[in-house]
Amino acid sequence: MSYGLFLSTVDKKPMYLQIVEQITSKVLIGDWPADMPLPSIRELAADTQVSVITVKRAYLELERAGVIVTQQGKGSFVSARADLNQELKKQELEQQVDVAIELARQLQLSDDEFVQVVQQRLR
Amino acid sequence: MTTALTNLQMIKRLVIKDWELAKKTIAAYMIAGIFTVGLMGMATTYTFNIGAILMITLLIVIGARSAIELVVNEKKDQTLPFILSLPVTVQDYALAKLLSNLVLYFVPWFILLVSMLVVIVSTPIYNGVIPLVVLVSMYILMAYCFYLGTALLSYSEGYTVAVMIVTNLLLNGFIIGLMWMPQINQTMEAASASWNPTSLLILAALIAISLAALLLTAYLQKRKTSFL
Amino acid sequence: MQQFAFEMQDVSIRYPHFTLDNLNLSLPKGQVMGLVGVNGAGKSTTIRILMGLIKPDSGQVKALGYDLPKQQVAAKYEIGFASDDMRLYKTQTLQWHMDFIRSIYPAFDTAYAADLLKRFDLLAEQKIKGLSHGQRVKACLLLVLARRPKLLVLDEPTTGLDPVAREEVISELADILLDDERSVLFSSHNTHDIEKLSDHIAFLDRGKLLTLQDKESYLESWGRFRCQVTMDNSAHVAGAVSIKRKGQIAEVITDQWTQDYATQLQAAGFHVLEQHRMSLEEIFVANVKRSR
Repeated sequence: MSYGLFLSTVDKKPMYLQIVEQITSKVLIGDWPADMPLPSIRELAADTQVSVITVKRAYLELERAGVIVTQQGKGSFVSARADLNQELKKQELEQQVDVAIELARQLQLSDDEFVQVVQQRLR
Repeated sequence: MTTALTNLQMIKRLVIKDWELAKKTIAAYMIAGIFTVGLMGMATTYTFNIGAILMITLLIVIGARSAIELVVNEKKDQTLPFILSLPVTVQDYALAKLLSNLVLYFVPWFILLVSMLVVIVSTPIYNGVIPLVVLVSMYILMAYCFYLGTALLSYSEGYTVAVMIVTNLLLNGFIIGLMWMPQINQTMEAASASWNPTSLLILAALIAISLAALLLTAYLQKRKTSFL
Repeated sequence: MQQFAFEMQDVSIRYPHFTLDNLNLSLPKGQVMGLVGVNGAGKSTTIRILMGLIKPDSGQVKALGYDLPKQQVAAKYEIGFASDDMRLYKTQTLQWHMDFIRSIYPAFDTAYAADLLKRFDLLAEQKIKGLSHGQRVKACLLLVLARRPKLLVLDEPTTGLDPVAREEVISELADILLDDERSVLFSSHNTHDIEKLSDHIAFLDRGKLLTLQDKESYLESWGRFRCQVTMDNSAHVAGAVSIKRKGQIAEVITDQWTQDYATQLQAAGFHVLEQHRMSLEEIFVANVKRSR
């Protein structure tokens, strides 16, 4: 059995974040539809060969982001929220902006200069 | 530790395991033994003497191989950690080793000694040599107890081989000493075995020293706390 | 119900050239602990004490509720132990070893053993002396795994294995994660394996436990920053494990990373150019260097 997650140890992102992102994208593109039960934490850990604590952490993050809901004793399911898709795309946008901000910092741009760059692109 | 006797099941398993490991070699030695006894049974002075020398060699080699292969090599070949990962204490292990070695040496030793005696009795060979044959065989068994003890306590090839060499060098002295004693040499060519107080005393001493060596080994083994 | 797979309390042992100093180590049931340390750090000694093979000078050791070394016979029926210095009998076949183990442990699962044989690409009828190092390691693991022990203790299980064999071993270990009753302690100097599978990290160096923490928060607490230092200051910043400077560029490593550690750095005169997470291996090196 495989859940189709592809984790990499050379990726700079921590393992739990890779799980979060890959599950989120499965939900976004509709491979994992609303109300679909997720594999148990131990199942996913064994399948992806990462520790239970890492998967647990990923599930907590996914829950916080509203991608999944966890019911006591029943396990986790893909969230059935109507605006989930919208919400996830918004989160992705925020992440992309964070990346841009990081780059701006490396270029030693001030916040005002960064906003100017954004405004230029918006025109 | 009191567990030494409560874990008989595992001790038995370990002894059987050593038998399984050693049985092929022991079988080969027994075949060599039959050949040697046959040589002695041809009952000419020449073949008897050659056979006797071969037999002494064989008894020593079986013992040496047993002590090295089953004890020293267990550590050298690193099978010791494997065995100690099983449900045994180091004391169980030591006891099993002592038992399996004794059995695996004592049984071939006993068979060879008895077949020598049978050959001597049933052929024209003077039965008067019986005390000498028994005493020399007993000396070899005693020497075995010494280097088995050394092997079990030190797990060192060097020490074990050193004890082997010393005891075997002393064997020559022992045989010459026996031949020199009037109580032994005067009855050698007699028609029947004649045990006298001197030969019986030597036999008793050899048995007592062997037992003492084994008991001391068992006692010292129990006191060891770390094996690896 | 005991909740710990094993517990070591104030365990000390003294050798002429090595001392294990007041070790406190415990693993909750159903979890995986990775024991990290350089050669000679005390990993094997710790594991041997846990298996009852060495009696510590002082301290208490319990595994699966059994006192060690006193109740080691009962404990070893439920603990599976394999180490890289463990060898099988050269003159015998793997089948002989499997029969031997099955005669001792009623729980030995013959079907699972056959399955492992296939997955590890081993032949039951082959004599041990004909096996490569990797095959021997896998044979040892097969004998241990096939009895599904409650606690699996592995001393350097992947040392000297080629990448394919390592992957086979790791994937079998990962299967144990499915069962929340089974726990694993494994030591390695391959931090990569430990980084993936463990829930807890225990760092040993020179007989001392440097760290015992859950892996996620441990990895998260370390970070590396590449900074520009404008002034000619030998400034220090709280929480830095090491600061290396060359010209205007400085590398700062911290084990107290938080969201605003970068701000703290800025305030201390370090202009942050880049920040990185650190792999367990990098943390391992930094940690050992700091403690010495």
